[in-house]
Amino acid sequence: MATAPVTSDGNKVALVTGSSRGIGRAINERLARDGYSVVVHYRRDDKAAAEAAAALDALGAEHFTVQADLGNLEDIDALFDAITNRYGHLDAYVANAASTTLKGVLEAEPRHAERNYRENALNLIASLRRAAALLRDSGRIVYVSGLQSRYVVPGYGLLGPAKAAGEETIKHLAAELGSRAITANSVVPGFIETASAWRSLGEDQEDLANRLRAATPLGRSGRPEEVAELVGFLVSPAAAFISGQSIAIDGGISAVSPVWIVTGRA
Amino acid sequence: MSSSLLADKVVVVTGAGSGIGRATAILAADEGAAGVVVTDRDADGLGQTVAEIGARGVATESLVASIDQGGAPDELVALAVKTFGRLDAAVNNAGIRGRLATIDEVDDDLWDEVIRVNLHSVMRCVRAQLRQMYAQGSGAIVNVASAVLFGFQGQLAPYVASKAGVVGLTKVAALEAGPKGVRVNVVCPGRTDTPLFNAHASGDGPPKEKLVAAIPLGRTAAPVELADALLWLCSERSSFVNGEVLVVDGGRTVS
Repeated sequence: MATAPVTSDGNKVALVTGSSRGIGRAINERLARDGYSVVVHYRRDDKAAAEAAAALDALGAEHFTVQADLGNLEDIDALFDAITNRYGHLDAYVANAASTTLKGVLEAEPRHAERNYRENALNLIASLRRAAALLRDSGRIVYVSGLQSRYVVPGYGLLGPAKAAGEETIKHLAAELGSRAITANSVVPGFIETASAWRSLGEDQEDLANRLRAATPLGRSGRPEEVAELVGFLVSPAAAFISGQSIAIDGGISAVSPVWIVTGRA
Repeated sequence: MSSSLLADKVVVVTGAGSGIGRATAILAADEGAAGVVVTDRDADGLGQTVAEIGARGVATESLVASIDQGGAPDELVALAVKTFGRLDAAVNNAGIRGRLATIDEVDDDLWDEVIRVNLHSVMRCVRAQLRQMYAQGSGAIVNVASAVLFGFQGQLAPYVASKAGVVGLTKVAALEAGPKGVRVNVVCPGRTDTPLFNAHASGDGPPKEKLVAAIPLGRTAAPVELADALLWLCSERSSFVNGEVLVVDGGRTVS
């Protein structure tokens, strides 16, 4: 059905970056069910963005689509300008998008490292600055990290440390934005079956996936919708006192040490 | 989401006579629980909680007992099963602070009491709950530790050690119970507007203004905010969260 007026002050607005597929798309749909107006943000995959938008239509959600390369500051500004023009404010900013070159620290070329840290660390700060300015009081920031920030996972020599920087940045925002009743938290997914998770498993992906499922105490991988539920909780009024945290959603694999031994193929 | 968090679930809450435990028991009733089984050593406080649940038209059973009394953990599970046929979720919240003492002044009685109530009893509760949940093949347990583990304070060695033990117990329980369809997590409350915290802040602890000023959100938590986190972890909505330590402290221990 039709949605609330687009610029109505009572209308909750969320931006989830990287929301054409996987976890980001699931978060958008979860927030749309809670009445948020949402944005489909994507970089390359027009077809996936169109499918994500169609799914939001089916939910009756108010939404629009923006293509932006978060490796590029002008695109970041254009993304937030578009939201400012359409909605005038934000209530939840979910920094979910990430891309990298899957290499070890020593095998990555300088240009890979430069691109990785520009997009996943420096430009994350640029996005957070724009988001903080656009968030209303009692707003929410959620950063989607990964267990690569805590453990050595082969291939994550660049993105893992960048995610760690992201989580530490979020702690600072929790302190800096507390006086506006804005919370900032990270979610740290374990093995969630998405297309990008499968790509990162490399050649013997079936075997690795089976070993990861077996090493997870719950005996299975997670679903994007389960991560979306955690984000949905964190943006809800029920989580108003949770701030500065990194919250794992991994079926318990990080309680088992050393958790990533199953992927030891460096 | 419009559906209730705990629709048709049978929930046990310890330390339900005041503070976080009472708020959790009442919220469980508000969130659609089929039955709420509560315990506390304080009969009057527990009676008020039971009355609140009853006023919501939700079935409840109560056990007046100190959680460290011999059979209390097993009796509680038996009460849930006898009355409602099952046990879906448990919140192990009962705890004491113990008097302030530096370690050189901690006597064995103080240490034993705090460890017995805060750690030994939690192990016995978890053990009894897991046995029932394993038989069912499902369930969720949430223990209550403390954010003091992430920003230590002097003169609280028995309390801090007991709560650290609860976190370790939770992690081991999570990896043992996961394959049997049971999740176990722990919540670490920061400064919350409860009788335990207020007695600390107005009594022998630091003044409340000083304790609140260190919290980025600039306030203490309402007990119901802890209940929200505890019951979310009890619910199906956290179905892939297991062995996690959720700190609910307004950002204090990261700043």
